[in-house]
Amino acid sequence: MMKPLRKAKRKGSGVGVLAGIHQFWSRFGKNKGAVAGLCVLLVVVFSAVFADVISSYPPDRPAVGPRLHSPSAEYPMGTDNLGRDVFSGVVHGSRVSLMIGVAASLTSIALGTLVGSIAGFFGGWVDEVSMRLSELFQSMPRFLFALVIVVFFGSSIWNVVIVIGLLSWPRAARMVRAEFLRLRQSEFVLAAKALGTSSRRIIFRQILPNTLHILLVTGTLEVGAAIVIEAGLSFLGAGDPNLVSWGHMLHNAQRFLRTAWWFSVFPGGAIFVTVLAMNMVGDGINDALNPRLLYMHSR
Amino acid sequence: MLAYVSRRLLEAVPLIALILVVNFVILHMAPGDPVSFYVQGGVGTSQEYVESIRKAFGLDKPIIVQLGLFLRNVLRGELGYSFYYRQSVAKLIGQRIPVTLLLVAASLLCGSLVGIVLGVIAGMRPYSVIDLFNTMIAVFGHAIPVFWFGQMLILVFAVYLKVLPTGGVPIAALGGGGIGDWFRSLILPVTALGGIQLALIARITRANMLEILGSDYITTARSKGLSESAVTFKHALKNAILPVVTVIGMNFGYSIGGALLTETVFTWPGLGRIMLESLLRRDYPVLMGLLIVISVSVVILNLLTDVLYAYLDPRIVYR
Repeated sequence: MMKPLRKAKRKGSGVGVLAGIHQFWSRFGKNKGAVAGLCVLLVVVFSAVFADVISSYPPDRPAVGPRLHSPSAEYPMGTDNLGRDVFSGVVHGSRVSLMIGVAASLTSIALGTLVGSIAGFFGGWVDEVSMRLSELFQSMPRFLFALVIVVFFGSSIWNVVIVIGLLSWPRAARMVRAEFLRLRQSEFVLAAKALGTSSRRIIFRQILPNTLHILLVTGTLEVGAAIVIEAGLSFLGAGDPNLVSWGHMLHNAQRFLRTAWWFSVFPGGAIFVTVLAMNMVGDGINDALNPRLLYMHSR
Repeated sequence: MLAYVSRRLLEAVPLIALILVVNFVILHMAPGDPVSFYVQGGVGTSQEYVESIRKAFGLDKPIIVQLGLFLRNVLRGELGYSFYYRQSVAKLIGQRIPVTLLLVAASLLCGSLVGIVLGVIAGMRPYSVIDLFNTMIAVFGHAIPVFWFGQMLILVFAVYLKVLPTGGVPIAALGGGGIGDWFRSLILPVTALGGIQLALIARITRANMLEILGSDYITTARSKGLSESAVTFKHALKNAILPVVTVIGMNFGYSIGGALLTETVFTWPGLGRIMLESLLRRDYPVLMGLLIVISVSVVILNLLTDVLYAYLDPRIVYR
């Protein structure tokens, strides 16, 4: 008796998902900034994957040209103080930034959602403990704390990912918690409670889907934020010394600001454009998923 | 309300204690011997000398005893003695706090004010030219790493246009400069650090404003025949700005991180600079003192934010 009913339900939701994806894309496509951001991200991903083919020289090989040579046909982004090709460095740097950004963001969102939804839904001492814990993490400003840990415990790429991920969950947690606090008093949740729906089901099926747009947007923003943190660590000379990264190039460029503008303009520009693209995609997802915005579109 | 405030104050005490212990444990778990950094200058340093240093700073005692000594000293307001700077940590930090606070406060103030105004206007007129312009500023500012933004500001305003100094306070202070010199040397760092704040706050204010304006009670207000300005300023504005209070409070800790980077770019002689130097030299007492001062101020700021939030939003009932 139950089986066919369940089957029918699943089939129905499958069609709903497809229609939802179609609707998402058509709304996402209306946001030109988001589409441009997506294109830029594809270029960054492409250069990360094919870095060895695209770049003219190994990024860390010194004296492939004269020192501090301004941009030319041979060296499109000039050379640095050791005669390394800046273009090759910028292309290879995309690997480090993308990898760290995505891995750290996933870690922080997973942790943040877990803590935030439990705290917001159950309230009471669970909420108190989680929020005090998130305060504890926030009271140690994450950049300084990441710097301390990386300098003391070693700056391998995985240490950097774990540190950024572990330090970044409070933002997602607080956002999710705030949404839970707001929604747990709302009619549909009260109705579900009155019907005797289990807490787990209410969290995952009733409230969490309503926070999806926040999670996705926070997630894309966290990727950008993680890229910036990693760049900051490398800028201070605390990044993974074995990798060519955009932040480390800026660290070297700081001393040559007066003589070699290209040395800081291009690697920093790469960080800026990548993070910008990431944020614009996040904005597009926000517009496409937030049903409340429909009102604004139709006005 | 009073009960809530005093309860939160009491809760802050164990939180701060926990922060102190965690900071202490992590710094002492890390590899690297502080004594070796202290005596690094003398290559042929005798073992007795090393041991006497270790004893003088209490580094020979078990970690629990060190922690006990440390907590007792903190309660007395003594943050220890810096190996590298050869002066008391409390004094060292005390000297630098105003310099960093000037930078952080000026950036936070400018960034918040401009950000809220931009965000509200953008939220009121979504997808208009003004909104597009604001969104561009907000999105650009949010994507720029503060240190690269600083470098670009130096390139444009100090290297090419030569209208503003590249460095921070020391130039003004050493030259015995007046208020004008301080102000001039503040412009670029505050623009760099405040620009980042502005972007975040403008973005969040705009998003809140949009969400609120799409909500039912606003539709009700409109259907009552209220003017658009009454709907916006009397009904929507307060609810839209509310979450921004939290963001500004939380942003203080974030600003400290940004300040470290900004100080490095502009050679600003604040807390960020001693933090970096003591990190490289494993100057434990300075690091500890810095983390204590920064953590405690952030806890207090979070507390103030929560209280302000409870005061502003009667819907939120704290149990």
